[in-house]
Amino acid sequence: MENEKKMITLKSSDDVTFEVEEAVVLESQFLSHLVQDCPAPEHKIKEVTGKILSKVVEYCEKHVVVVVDGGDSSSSSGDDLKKWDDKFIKEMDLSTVYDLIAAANYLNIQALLDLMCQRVADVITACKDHKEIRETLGIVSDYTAEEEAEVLKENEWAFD
Amino acid sequence: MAPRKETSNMAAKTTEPATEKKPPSVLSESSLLSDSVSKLHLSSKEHNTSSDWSFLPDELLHIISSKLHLQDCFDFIHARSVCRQWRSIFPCPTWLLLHTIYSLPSFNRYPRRVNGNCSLEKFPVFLFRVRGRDTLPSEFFIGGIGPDTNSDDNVELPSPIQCSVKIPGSTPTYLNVADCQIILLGYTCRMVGYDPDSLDTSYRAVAFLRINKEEGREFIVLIGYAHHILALRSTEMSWTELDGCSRADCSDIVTFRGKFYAVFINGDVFAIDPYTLETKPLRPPVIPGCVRHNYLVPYGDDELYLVERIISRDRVLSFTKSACRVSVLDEEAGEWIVVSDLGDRVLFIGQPGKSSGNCSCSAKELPDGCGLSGSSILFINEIFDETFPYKYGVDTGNPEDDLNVWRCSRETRVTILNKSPMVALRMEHAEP
Repeated sequence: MENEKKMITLKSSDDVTFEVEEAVVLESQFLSHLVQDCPAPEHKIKEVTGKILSKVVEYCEKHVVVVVDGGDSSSSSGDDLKKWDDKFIKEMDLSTVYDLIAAANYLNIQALLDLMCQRVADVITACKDHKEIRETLGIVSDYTAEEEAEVLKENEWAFD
Repeated sequence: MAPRKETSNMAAKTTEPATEKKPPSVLSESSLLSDSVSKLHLSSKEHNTSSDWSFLPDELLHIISSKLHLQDCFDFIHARSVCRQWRSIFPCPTWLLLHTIYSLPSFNRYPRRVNGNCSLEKFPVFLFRVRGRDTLPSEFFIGGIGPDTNSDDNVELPSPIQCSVKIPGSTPTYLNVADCQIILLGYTCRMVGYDPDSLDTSYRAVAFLRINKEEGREFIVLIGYAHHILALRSTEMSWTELDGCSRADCSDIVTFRGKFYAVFINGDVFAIDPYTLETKPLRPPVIPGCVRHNYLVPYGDDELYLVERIISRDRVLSFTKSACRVSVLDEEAGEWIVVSDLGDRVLFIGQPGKSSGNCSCSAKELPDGCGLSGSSILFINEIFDETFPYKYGVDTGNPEDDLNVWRCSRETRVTILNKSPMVALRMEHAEP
């Protein structure tokens, strides 16, 4: 619509800056409130590191482009987007997934949050038992010995 | 510095000074650590190799839990076992074994109003793969778990997700579901106390759909009662007759992608919208000179199959002799498309209201070594203890028989081992 796209600069907790189009920022409910309420050209996001913010920006930029260009060929670009999402999460280590969940939750980007939570659900599904989930995610059991026995009983028939 | 939890408005204000100091176009590579890194991030920095997943807030665990497939109860059991917090978030998959009973006004002498109630039972249908030592690998069970009508003893079970099934044989033993792999095939309904095969009642079929899912517990029930289709909305709790359906008796009603599909003894099929109760005929093309018994079998929400058992007028009504035509619904066009291949799918056709009902699964789910391969249909006649596996293009040896239909195949022998509380089947390759 406009000839000149409005650019906004985001700065991470460790002072890495990203210059993005306003449409990209609008993917995040938190940021869209932020830019509406405060017209400053740069915004510092203290809760998110540069490494994670770069992923957030990458995701939002990809999704914004498809929505804008999508128009009539929405189905094929929808498939492409899904492929891109798959690749996006596959290349990611679990520690990044964790940080991205926290960031997507904080910045209120529902689609990214869903995607990341789906990744964790897939990890759970891929594990053959609860011990493997603990190992994979580095969770230490806080059960007492008695509770652990109870858990095992429930698990008996779930073991493959 | 700025407080950690702020409204977006306040956060905006705290960013302003930074803006003034640095021009926005300059990419800063400052390694100065902000002192307001969130707690979530601090915890991940302490453990460099893995983030501390035990710190995830409940609401995020709820989202993760909602991404698991409801059918895979093992995933829930595993996740529940991880730690206390997870146990409180991931639900115990009792829905898998739960029967839901709805008390509805009686319809028995419709249209006369009769005081009293009837009970609709909605239950999941499973495929059980037995892994016990005493059973052959080719055995499997299909059906819902209900009270065992063959035995009087009610054994207290240690956990709501364990249940025992009597395996027939020389010595009846209890099969613990603990030794099974359980695969949910779908949900089915029956009216408690009514037998659709009995001549004492005009009740023939029932189906249940939840509507307005977002808002909770609203549902609609359809029953086939003599040559009426009666509908009941949970908001009104009274039966009304549906207009614009077949004049013949209804033989079965199934649900598929949020709609009802009713099949009638003359071969008619109607799609019924649960909100408007509008009906739409979906009659397959006529085959001249033939009578058809039609069956509807949904494959999850992926496909709806119509199996037409064709009975030539001059022939004996026998499963071993009759041929079938199978079509798949093209929902948009409102047409049935004849198919000769079901891929890896197996359709089970039982009797409505019985534990098997009509259901389907992928042949991959069936035990290894069981003779039933993909792209086949299995008719289960619980009344006469007979089963009839059908395949496409079976050569009967009779040159007059058309090859391009589905016929009873002698490749596989399927024995019904048990009927209550669910159907147990044993598959064997027949000796050539």
